[in-house]
Amino acid sequence: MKILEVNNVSKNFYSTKALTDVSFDLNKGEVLALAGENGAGKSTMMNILLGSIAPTKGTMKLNGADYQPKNPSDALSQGISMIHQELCLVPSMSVAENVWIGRVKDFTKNGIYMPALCEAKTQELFDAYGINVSPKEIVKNLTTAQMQMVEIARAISYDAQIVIMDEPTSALSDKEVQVLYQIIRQLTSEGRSVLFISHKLEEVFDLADRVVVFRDGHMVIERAVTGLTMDELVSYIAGRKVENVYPKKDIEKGDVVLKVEKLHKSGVYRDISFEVRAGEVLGFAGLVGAGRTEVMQGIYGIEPADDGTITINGVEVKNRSPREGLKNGIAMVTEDRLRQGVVKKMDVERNMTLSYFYNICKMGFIQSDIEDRDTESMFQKLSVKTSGKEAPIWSLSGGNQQKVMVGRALLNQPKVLIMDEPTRGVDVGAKSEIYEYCNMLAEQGVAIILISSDLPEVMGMSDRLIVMREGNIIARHERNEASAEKIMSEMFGLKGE
Amino acid sequence: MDNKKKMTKDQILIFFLKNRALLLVVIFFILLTVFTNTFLTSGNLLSLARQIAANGIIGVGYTFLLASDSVDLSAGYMMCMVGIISGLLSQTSLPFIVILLVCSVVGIVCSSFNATVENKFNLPPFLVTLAMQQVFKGALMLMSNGTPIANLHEGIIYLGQGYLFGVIPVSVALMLVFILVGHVILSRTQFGRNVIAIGGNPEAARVSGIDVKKTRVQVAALLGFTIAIMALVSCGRIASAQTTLGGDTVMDIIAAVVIGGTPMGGGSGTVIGTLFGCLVIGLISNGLNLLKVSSYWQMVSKGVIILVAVILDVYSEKIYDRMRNRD
Repeated sequence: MKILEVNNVSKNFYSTKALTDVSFDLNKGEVLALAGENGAGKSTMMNILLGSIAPTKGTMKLNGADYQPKNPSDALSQGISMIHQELCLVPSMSVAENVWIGRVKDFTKNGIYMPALCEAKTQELFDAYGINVSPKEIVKNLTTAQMQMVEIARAISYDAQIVIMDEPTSALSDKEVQVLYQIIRQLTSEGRSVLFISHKLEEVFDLADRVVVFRDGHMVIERAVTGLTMDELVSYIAGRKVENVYPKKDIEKGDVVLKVEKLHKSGVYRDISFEVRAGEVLGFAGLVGAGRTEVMQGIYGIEPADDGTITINGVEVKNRSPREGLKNGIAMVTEDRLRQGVVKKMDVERNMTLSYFYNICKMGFIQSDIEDRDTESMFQKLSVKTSGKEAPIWSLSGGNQQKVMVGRALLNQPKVLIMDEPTRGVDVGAKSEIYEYCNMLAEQGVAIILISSDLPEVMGMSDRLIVMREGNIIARHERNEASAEKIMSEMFGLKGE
Repeated sequence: MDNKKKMTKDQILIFFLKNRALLLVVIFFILLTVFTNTFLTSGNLLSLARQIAANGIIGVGYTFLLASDSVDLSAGYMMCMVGIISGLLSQTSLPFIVILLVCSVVGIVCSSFNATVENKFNLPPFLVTLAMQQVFKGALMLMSNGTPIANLHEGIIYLGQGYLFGVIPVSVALMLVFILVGHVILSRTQFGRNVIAIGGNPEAARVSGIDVKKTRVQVAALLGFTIAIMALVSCGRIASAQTTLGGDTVMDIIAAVVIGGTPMGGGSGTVIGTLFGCLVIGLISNGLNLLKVSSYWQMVSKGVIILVAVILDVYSEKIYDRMRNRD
């Protein structure tokens, strides 16, 4: 039974066609995946479904009746709720209050709010869907993954017929992803439909009944997942056959560039020792919270370590701040692009040169000709898609924002480049470009550290692999030495590792 | 052709939305020219320019402060305190240059102290400066026994009342120099970029190697310097160091800077805009005086106009966004 019909929907922004003639259906109790690169039109489609923007052309039907949502709360009242990619929770309120936000009236007695009622109802909901978070906990004390679960619970709590999920797993560890899968299966068994956006194509195969692929604002295909192969899906998305997903090049290794010995931060990580050579990519695998990011922040200088030594090209350095880290030849692409990466109010150029502009100053004045020249050359080198260097950074797609972040790191010509989850929330095309930069930099003799929670990626791109768990280095592997299963069991600390 | 016309119309609209203060200045100018016959006289315009000179000077420092996502409630009383100190020093035989230096140092040290406390204890600027406002107020009362000081040094009088080449008021010239230098610093220098970056996203700025705490102290020092100069100019203008002028000053400055286009919350800033913001505030007082509106009604209407300007600020962003997303 069709619950939602989208007929010939188009959307133009100025002269750009964001969507052209898109039509698809969503059936009751079905999981429909929307796939496509960033900027392919998925988010625009979602925003139209939610009423955030109106289509330029085309119609939609919900349960057979005309559907023209005026805004997201109108959409919600008609039975469509959404889990956003970015977390929208109130940090100072409890889990329960966040789940039922805006509906506190339901938990009042004679006009007085009763937290216990709210918490009980939340617990009921959590139990029903197997979510393991305390309703009483204050949200700011939660991990990112737990926050994501709260966000998911909120979307479910509206009893919506259609739940839209925009990259719901990007902040989740594998264990929690399983919980989410369970939630989705339960939702569909209750006769609700799920619209699912993800850049992790494995998830499309794990979850979806059908898939709709977008490319450049057009719908490329709508079909059942059964019988579809990964290669086919990738070629639909990319519009070309992507031969090798991880184009790792074999590059001759030089001398040791970075040497870390017995790095220690109390309560966070301990006894971290490793080295990286010029031209080498060292991967760090582990679960979210295993301490990988914290170690790198210690090396770069964001949160200096308590103890231990860092040596670069044989000279011991102390990086007490990112400035010192940069001066000593380390650059880092941070994991949290929103918080530690982009400056929203600045344009693309100024975002690109944020860790560089102070090196091209003469008597305190920024030499804007040099800034322009270097920005332009970085645009070319990384093929950043932007309407110009003065475009606001938020007008770029996630993948292109990430390229700007990579460009920022590269402008300082680092000897060591740390990339923390560089492909998170990035589309297939931009992903493979980032892998290409990896190769290119390695060829130029940069020592690269790659942190990724995407196990195939970190295995595919690294020369050597370090596995971390709970602040310790658990294992070290040469390339192709260990199987994914073995590494996975090391990450989780399962028996037989 | 039609499209082209629409584009230029849009561009004009965008220009005025981005330069709201300028728009308000033009409107007030026209209204006052039409409704009074005393407004457009050289005497009145000159006194208007002198009225806004002091605010224009501190406005430069305050633009940097708001752009860096900070605020200072103590600026007004700090200014009064510096004024009183200049008054006390005038009673000695110290040369003007020493008075100028001492006042500047006091301004810079006091303001930097605020920022240092904020940094050290990780406190919001609002609370620190709320407390320090009382400290400065108490200190200035202690120093002056609560009475204004007259007999200021002639150098101070010259700053407030003197003329360059017999036509340009020294205070106005000084303001224009501050505005110009401030504009260049904010838009072209490393320091200016640091300020915008820490206001836009302090964490990203820190990770990118910008010393956020140091920049905050530098901004405060700059503000302190403009406070000191403003104190001398405004004391010179009325030839006496007052004890009670501090309270309203801060609110007027914040209003001028925000109307000028520098948002509370930081991340961007315009010194030139602040000049027009000061003009708007000045024109309100000046115009209402000319229209013989009582000073109590002046307060009410000033508040309303500031409110309208701020609402315009929020709405213009939305209109601007909508225009960008239109077909």
